[in-house]
Amino acid sequence: MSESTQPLVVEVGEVAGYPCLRPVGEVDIASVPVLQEALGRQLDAGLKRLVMDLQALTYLDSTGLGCITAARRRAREAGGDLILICTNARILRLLAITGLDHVFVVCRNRDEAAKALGESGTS
Amino acid sequence: MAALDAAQSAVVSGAAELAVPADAAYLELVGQFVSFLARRRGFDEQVVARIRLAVDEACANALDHGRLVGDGNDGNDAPLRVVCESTADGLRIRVRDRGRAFDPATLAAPLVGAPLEKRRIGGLGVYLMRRIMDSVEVWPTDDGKELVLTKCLDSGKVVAGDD
Repeated sequence: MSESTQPLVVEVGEVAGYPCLRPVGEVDIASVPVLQEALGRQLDAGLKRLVMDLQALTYLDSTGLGCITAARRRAREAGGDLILICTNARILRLLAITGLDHVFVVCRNRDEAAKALGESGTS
Repeated sequence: MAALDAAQSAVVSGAAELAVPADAAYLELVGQFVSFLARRRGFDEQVVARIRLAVDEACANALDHGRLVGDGNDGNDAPLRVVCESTADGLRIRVRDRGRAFDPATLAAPLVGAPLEKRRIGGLGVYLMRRIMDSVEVWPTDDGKELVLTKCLDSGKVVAGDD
């Protein structure tokens, strides 16, 4: 949560042909439905290999962590994966505190993410 | 309950209270309120951000579980009340809602080391509060519960992942 209001926007692009979701702003209990909808849209369309770029995220709480954890579980169950891009120390610390740094593949940039997705299967 | 009884710690400079509608849209205002007072109490920005996250989690808990008293509807219009008190040691924050009290120590800790398929989705809020703050207590009130978070200025608590 930053000091000024910044409504969450989820930009959708591509990394090596895979959908890349880039939330811009804060993910908390108020805004998490926006992220859930964006992720759900991709997964509902059968796009099960996803990248989430957290570089423009200014705040993430436990509801946001739950959202991306649920999305990765759904992607994995469908035979895909959800890879994170993050170098933000605060977000990385949150992932470490909650043990999610061992659950997610966390990459430093899009090239690493593309390589990780390529190595995690072909579905 | 934690051994430390936060209520026994003297308030040294009064209390500031904010009451907002029980609506997630107001949590940013709560965050600004708490951050302002934490800075005034002398916490550095890194700790201010953590305190803010803990209070955000407390408020999210209140929004999720704060309407359980009575028939389940009587708390819908009740505001969320956040009280910040400067104590001799640091800061004490009380988050009051209409939900039932619980003992945070009895909640099952999330399986933070478990693989994805064995982890429960959610349930990280109280865990995060306990990792960040020096004490987390929940007390029943006449019309609900009060979640009391304390943070000491000289807290030796090291949060995993710290630089």
